[in-house]
Amino acid sequence: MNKIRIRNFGPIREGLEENGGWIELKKLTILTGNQGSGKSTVAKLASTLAWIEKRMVKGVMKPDWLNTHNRFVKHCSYHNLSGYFKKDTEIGFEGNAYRFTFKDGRFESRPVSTNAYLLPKIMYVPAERNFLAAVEQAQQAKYLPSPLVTFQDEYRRALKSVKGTLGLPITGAALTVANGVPYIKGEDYEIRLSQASSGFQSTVPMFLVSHDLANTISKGADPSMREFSSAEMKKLRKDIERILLNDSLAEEVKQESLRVLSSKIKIDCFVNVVEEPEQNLYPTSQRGMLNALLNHVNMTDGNRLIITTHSPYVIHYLTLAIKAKQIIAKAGQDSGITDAVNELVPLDSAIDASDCAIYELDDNGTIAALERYQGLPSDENELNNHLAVFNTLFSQLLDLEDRCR
Amino acid sequence: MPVNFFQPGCRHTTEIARFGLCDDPQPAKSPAYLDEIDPDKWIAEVSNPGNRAVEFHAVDHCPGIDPRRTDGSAAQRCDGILTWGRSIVFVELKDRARGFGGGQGQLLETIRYFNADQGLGGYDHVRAHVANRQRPAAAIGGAQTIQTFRNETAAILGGKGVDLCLDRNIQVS
Repeated sequence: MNKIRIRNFGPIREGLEENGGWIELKKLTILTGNQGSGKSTVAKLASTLAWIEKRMVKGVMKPDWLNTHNRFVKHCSYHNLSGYFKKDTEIGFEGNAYRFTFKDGRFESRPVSTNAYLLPKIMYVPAERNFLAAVEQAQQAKYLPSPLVTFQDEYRRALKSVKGTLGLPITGAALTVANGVPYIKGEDYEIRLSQASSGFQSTVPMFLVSHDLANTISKGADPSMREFSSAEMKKLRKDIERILLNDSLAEEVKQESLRVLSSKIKIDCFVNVVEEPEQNLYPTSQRGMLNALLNHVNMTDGNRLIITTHSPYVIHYLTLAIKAKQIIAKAGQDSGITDAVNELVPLDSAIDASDCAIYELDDNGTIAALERYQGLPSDENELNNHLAVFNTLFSQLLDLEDRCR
Repeated sequence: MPVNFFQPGCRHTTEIARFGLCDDPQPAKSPAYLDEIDPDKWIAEVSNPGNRAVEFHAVDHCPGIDPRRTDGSAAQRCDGILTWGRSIVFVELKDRARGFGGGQGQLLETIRYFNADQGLGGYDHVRAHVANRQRPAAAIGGAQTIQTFRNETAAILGGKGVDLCLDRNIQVS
């Protein structure tokens, strides 16, 4: 399992106050907190470090390359994090192939056993994704943030993969694509996505890219070639030729060499980092959207989903997905019960409690892991508490009204 | 000595399609009661579309209902019990509550002593409701609260636990 530790970086000060400060990046990791509390900082840093690890495994970045010339800090500029470094910034990352530390301004990497490493497709889904849906020909816009440009490339590729209609997880609508233009199709309407509601505009790019990558990887198709630069492709060809044309190698050695080479490039799993998946969505649509993302993360072993959210519904609907998994395990072969569970929570979206972690970030730069009761997220989570705050505030107003009599 | 939770003096009956359960605010020490007239007074609202014969039995502050723990101290009591057919609903009526905390203790102890003294074996449907007088009120998620209540009542009853509803609307079906 991957872990990340962050101290004194951007809005994060002490970071996680337990577990030695290590935030466990499980199959599903949810980050909640106020604006500016550091949710996205954790998500972006986790994405960056996983990406660096992948580059090192692929051999396109030397393990010591980031150790000098402030390269690690510069690397963080992709996510606009370069300005978050302080004198006492400490960052740790434990992946399955590399361990990274950043302390006293120095970055260090150490290899660990790579046996458990699965090469991921890492997709960061930015909060401003609706721009790509609201503005047709958004690719012609200049000065877009780098993560949005990367996401846009993947979105455009995914649009090309849509054949016929693709059901969307919200409102029963479907997506069609004609001449590269996405349309939303309902029972009695069909409109361009650029003219659809904001909920569709934020959901379609996120859902489509997630759907496309999760399905592509689960079917054994390899999206890795998409991310190869021409230089990398040239190097790959040379590496293959060097193996195949080397007459001194036995056939078995050649096959093993090709297998090792393949393991460095073939995508095994999908790491989906999604900012605020609930954006502009009605609660029932939030449920459909979350279930879709859970379905995607369940498709292939090693997939991971990191979500930042302000929505109590996301926590509530995750609770249902965890409970559903518990009941499925208890039901065993009783298809009557599993069918009934499926009516409430799609079986493909159910998730094991031990595969989930929720972290709450506060305004003081500390992070706390949400407690659980029998695997279920505690009712005492901050998003739930803020719903209850309404009741308290309203009571206080009633108390004041009483004093008027 | 077994407690009779259905004291004749605290029993109310109705067949009306919509009525409320009321409890006078502190410091009043009077039992909860059923009201068919004034929705503004209702803490819990009961829908009875089939006009079934429903009974409401006040529990807390009802003379003659005084369950005692083994150490002799008074057990907590919920505000009342609704029954119809083979269904029974334990009800806690909360006054201007800050959330739903606190009502479960009264419900748990009442269920414990009711089961011990009168038994729940004659009922097919058993559930508990925490109703909040305050309106408007934001509904908050209560999975942990519901799960805990289910577990604790299962331990008390030695079998299936009781469903806890964090809802002021009670449906007679």
